[in-house]
Amino acid sequence: MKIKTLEVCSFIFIVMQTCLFGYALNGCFRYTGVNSWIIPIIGSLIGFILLLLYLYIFNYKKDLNINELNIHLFKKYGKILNSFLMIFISFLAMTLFWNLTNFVSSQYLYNTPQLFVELLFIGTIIYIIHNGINALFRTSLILAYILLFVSILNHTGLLQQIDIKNIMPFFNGEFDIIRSSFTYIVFIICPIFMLLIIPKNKIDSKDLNKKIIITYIVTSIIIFTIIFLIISIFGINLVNLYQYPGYHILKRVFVGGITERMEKALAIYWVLTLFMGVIFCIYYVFKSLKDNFNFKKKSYVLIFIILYCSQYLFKNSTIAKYWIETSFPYIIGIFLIGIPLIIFIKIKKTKLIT
Amino acid sequence: MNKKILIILIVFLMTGCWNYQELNSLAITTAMAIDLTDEGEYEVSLLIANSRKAQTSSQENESQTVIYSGKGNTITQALKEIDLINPRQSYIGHVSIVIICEDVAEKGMKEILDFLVRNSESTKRFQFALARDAKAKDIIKVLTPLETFPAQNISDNIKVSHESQATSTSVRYSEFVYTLLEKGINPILPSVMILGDEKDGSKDKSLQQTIPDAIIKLGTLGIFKEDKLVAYASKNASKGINIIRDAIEEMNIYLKCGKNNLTVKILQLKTNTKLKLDDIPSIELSISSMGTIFEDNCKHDLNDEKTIKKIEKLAEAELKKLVKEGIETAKDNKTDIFGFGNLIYKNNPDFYKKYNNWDNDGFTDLKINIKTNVDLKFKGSAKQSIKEAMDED
Repeated sequence: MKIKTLEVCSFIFIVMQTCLFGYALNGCFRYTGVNSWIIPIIGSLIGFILLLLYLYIFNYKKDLNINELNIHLFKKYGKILNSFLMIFISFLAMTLFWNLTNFVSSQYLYNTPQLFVELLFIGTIIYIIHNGINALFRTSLILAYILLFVSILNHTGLLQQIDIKNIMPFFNGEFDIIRSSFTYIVFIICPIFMLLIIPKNKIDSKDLNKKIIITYIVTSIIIFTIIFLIISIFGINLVNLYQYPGYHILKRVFVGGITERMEKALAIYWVLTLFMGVIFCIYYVFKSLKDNFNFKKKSYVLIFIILYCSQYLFKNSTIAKYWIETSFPYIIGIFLIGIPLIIFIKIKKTKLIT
Repeated sequence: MNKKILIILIVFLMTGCWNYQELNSLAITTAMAIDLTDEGEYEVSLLIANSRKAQTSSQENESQTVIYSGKGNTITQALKEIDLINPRQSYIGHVSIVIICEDVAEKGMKEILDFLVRNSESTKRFQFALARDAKAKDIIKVLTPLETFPAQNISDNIKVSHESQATSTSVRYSEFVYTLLEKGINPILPSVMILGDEKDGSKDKSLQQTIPDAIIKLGTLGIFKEDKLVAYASKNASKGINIIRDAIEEMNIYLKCGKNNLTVKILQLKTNTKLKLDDIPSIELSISSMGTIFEDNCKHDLNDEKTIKKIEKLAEAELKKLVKEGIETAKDNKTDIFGFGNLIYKNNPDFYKKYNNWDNDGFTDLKINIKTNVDLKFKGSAKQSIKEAMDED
């Protein structure tokens, strides 16, 4: 059965926000402070080039996924390239899973052992992966509807509290717009790369590129409003005070006296985006193991080990936060911008020869 | 087979019973009071809404709330002391007000703020107030006839006064922290005090009388410089401060017409602050409002437009007087509680940086022009005063 276009759009919608909470948000606030609201605009405009690059690769050989395409283009070196990508995406999955369990444990289930929380998620992730790509995308679509609903609720409940004074002074002081935009691009746009694990011919591809671009624009607008709302309601000082400003802002959601004190329920937005991000990463790893090393049942064991080990990834949240905001964007850049660029050049060369 | 194992696993894992807390195993805290002991330790008191007893409140002579106190060098230490005497686990997610004693506020609030920011149970949206001329613990002790829980009484009182009175204002915890962190603005807090005997007022017997032994009264505003309480504003200055901060929408103005009195209710009060940056910055305050005659014991013809104009002028002058008093109080204490410095910083950060200490160097020399406008639209249900009507007869 072919994957529907809408399901792919839901994938783009979720995957663009998967590294927003705890990664892109914190990075933007760190480097551009009160001017952070401008970053989604600049980042999305520059990131559009990257999206076109991914779409170019995606459209090249419609019957091949990225692993098969690399083997096709680079022959024996293709597997090495695939292995690098796979190791990196495993690492991304680990950090996302760490962020997810850390958030859930610190804000929701502080009395529950983290291992128990992890096992709950691991079980669900393996179950969805086991059911295949169609189940994964169907899940993605259902969750995208839930996310959209929660997003509308959150935005409506926060709009009236905007204070423009909080985004002033405009463009003042030291702010690193280049670094911040780079952080935004690597965390928001680069995860779209995972779409390449699906061969295009497996998708009902009527107007697919156009719909992906529309989803990209809509999601960018949503991300802009999220960042704008956080800054304009909290002000940069409160934003920098909280570990998860994206969560604390939900405590302010108030819609006509109905949705007061619902932050724990509304934070499902962040939980689901992180959770789906982990699933997409794990599916990528699962498929890569199958394509490159012909692993089948062993893959589940490896996935379990990857996710389980994520809790030993960082010694504490201070180290994690610093590392994620400073070094991690460059690593993502090397793998998810560098390697696709190499593939793009190779495709261009191949086309020239033929 | 695998599916069956998975289902069995899910049945055990998804029950949600890990470390669950039943409502009756929690001590739901509705108010918190923070005092400073003679030894310099913090004394934290929690007002617990004792749910089991509250449910059986029809039983007379049984208190529905209980206060537990603990001491320590930090808030956490003091709370842990409470855990030794409290049979239930303290839950602070439902705190509606936190009262701080003057000693703590004068010493500095920095040390007590962190706990409530860091605590994930706390909503950060509760009211924050000062205990004036009393221990914070005593304030939350006082039982009131109109509300079951004393905390609710104080919290509601502040909310109502915030909407209709000008002497007090509602400051939420997150707003206080926000103001403290911003450049060029210092916080204010409402104060509460006890009228009567607090010892008798904390007994249920007090509620059986028509006039309770003690009641809680809202005081004037406490003015801070950074995190330290420096003074209390007078009643008029508090009104002026609230007008400048655009924190109120309505208030009453009491005017004199000879020996008689006239009350004008000011509605839709709106203050616009404009900044002018020359060598010395200046601020222009435009205060606009609508008014209605609330009580008139004067001898004048309210059907004459000239009389209305005259009352408008009197009301405008009174508003100006209140605002001036507010500004003088702030300038005397060298603390910019209005956020004029913040306005300068937001509009021209380089200009703001010229001042080493805005409160001492800039604010005290700041030129402030005040424009007031009262548009007297209504006269209530009567066309003229009783006095005037009797004279006509």
